[in-house]
Amino acid sequence: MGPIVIGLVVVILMIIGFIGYVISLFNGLVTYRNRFQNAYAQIDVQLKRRYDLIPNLVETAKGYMKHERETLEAVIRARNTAMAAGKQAAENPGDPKAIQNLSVAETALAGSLNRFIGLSEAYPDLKANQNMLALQEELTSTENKISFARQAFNDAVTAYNTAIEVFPGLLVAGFGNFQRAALWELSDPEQKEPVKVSF
Amino acid sequence: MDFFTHQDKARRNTFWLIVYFMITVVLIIVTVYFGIVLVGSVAVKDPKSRLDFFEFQPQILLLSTLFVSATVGLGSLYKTMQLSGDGSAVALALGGAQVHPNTLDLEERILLNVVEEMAIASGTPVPPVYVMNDEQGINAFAAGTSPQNAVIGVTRGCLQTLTRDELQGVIAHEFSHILNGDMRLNVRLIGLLHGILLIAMIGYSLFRIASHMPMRSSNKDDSKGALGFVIALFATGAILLGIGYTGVFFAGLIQAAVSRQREFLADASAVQFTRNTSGITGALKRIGGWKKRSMLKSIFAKEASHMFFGQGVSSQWFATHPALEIRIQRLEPGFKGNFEKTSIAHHSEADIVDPRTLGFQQHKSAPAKAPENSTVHAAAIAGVQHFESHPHDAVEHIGNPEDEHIDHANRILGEIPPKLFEEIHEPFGAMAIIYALLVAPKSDPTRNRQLELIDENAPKGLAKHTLSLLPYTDSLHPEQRLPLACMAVPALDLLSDPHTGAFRTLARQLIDADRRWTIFEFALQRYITKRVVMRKSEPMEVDASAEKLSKSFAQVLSSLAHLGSNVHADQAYAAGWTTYAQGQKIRSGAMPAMLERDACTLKQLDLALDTLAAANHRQKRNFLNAFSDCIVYDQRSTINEVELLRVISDALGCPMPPVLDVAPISS
Repeated sequence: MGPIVIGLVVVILMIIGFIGYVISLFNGLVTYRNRFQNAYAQIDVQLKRRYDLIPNLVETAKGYMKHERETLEAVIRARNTAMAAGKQAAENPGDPKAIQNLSVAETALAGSLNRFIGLSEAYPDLKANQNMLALQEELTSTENKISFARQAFNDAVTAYNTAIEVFPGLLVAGFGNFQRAALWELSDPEQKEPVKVSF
Repeated sequence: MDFFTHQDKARRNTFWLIVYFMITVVLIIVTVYFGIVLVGSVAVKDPKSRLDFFEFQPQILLLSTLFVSATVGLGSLYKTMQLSGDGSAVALALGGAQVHPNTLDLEERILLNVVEEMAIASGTPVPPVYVMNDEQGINAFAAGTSPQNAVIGVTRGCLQTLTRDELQGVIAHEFSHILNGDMRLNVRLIGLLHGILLIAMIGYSLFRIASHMPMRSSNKDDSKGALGFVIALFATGAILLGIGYTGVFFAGLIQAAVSRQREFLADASAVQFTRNTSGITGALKRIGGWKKRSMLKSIFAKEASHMFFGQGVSSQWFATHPALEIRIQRLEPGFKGNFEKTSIAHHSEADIVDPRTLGFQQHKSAPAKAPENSTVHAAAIAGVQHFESHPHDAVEHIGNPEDEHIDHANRILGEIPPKLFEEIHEPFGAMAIIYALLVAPKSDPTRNRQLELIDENAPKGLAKHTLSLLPYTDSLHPEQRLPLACMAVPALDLLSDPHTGAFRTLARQLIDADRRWTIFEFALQRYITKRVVMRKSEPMEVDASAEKLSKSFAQVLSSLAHLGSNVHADQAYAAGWTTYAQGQKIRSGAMPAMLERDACTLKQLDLALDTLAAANHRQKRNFLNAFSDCIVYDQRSTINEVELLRVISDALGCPMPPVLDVAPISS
């Protein structure tokens, strides 16, 4: 009886160990994924707030900047595009394509906002408008929050990507449908520079 | 029965639970033994290695004991470790997503406010809240092992169908689980259940493996052995499967029996907390009239079914919750058992705050304006407000907040400037507020040093943000400061690890800037930084021998005595000791000497509290009574002393509701 029973027990113990190990690996990956999805929610709240602020800003400026209709419209257009991209990214923050689209749309929005704010400097009445000041202050603060939340998101995505690429996780990630998620990088470095205003 | 009795009872329940499970495990071992011997005597053809069924086989008994205890032990250990500590592991496993503290969703906003109210009323840090978006049944749960690391989760169905009052009833029920120590019991239960379930799972795997094995081999001699092996594998698999499920059956009975009693208790406590029977009965009735009842889809829900508000998995024998009708009848004796059809509740903006306290909230929508007066603050620094009631009452209220506490919490929430209220709900703002709260008042020379520290070490946007919040935090009443800080927890929970590290370092630098700790800093340190760090690392083991305990007790008592008065410190100390000695039934002559003032640093206090936290609850009650007697010895209690008592109580794992009689916030 000896060899069979001992063999069985060894096999069983190995199976237990293996199953336990695979389960814990899998759960680990799920946790990483949940973390970056939660991190995206932070960005989302701030993005939405900014999308709400922009129309107010434009509305306030409209009365003063009568000759800049094109710029104002461009801002609104960029805001709408970014909002649509944001909606898609919120549905699946793990989709690299959605994050990339959002990143491009956001950069465009930041560019047109910069242009708009640069132009608004030329209107002293507008510059002194209390409402405009408050909105701009709010916008700056929201942008700070977005960049902070973006950093947290990128940290979480990096941790997740590393986990699915290093050795034991790699095997589990294969059959568990864990795909690489994209970082949200500022896509066009030129656009980070403040825009020069020409008259 | 009070908080301490319930806690001890929960521990005793855990003890019996383990005894029952041991019995189940022994039964399983015996069955596995007979199973193997049976297979060995029937399936093995070779007469030399065949077993005699009627002969005792010590080797096999040893093997089966090893096998069963290793499986159950490892399975339980793995699951317990996975779930213990932070409650968010359970919440994530159940398919929950954390509600963003600054959510724009109306239903979620109402939920968060109800939770915040209840947390401040009961004196616990505000737990992060999870919503199971895929679940349409009406259900909720609390997870974590202590009030410090608890989380609360509700289903989407719960948010959609319940009114604010009913939601408050459900949340109060969950807080009762948190406050009565049920969660630790719950995790143990899941762990043990999982260990036994693992045997069945292995049996199932063996079954699958055997069915995929080739029956024939090219070598003729070999084929016979291989066939025997496959048959043995099949038989072992079947037996393990049977044993595993029988074990799970008995374990399920135990789970159900333990759980049902705790549910009645939690229902009763919910009424006690809110003084509103219709809230919780209303919620139970909605479950009865809802097509999805309280059912859950999650696979993990079966193992965790005893953690929920309502029956999550349909079953008669294993019902972890008493029948709805019976639960309702206990609270509302006239109930006949007819449920009306539940429809979707329509929430409005007005539901965000408690309608009963609307008066306090009115100025919340007023435009934000940085308040300038600092008189309240000055009074707070002087810390000389008297209050009438005896802190013993506060000790009696531990774990038992009442509706006055909820009103009080509501008032505190309502008085917090809207700007701060908004900022505390997101990670960036929460960090800034904690920094701002740690900055010393204007009159203190340390303030400039601290502002420099923030400017140097915090990221640029954050430093600026902190400065912009300073006027608001400077004008806060001391009574508002800790609750505000406690509200930061869910947002801080969302920080990534590098951010958490940076936050902790700077907070620590701000605390240490003046080379001494104030009580508020100490409290914040205990409530926030420790908690935020604790959630992300393993809890440490403390040495809690009787000698160490009494030393730590003397340390804390001496600190309180010195804090209360310069002249009568030794008498206050003796008064505290006498109370303790009476409670513990020991001679008061054995009093250890009071420590010198210099030996009573907050750092020492911090260490001593970690030790005291490991005592049992009967002892903790005696500690707390002693501390409060020491405080009232000089016939007046400052808000500093009361806050310190609350922090100590919290550090011991006994959340104390706010003391109501401290002078109300001037409006």
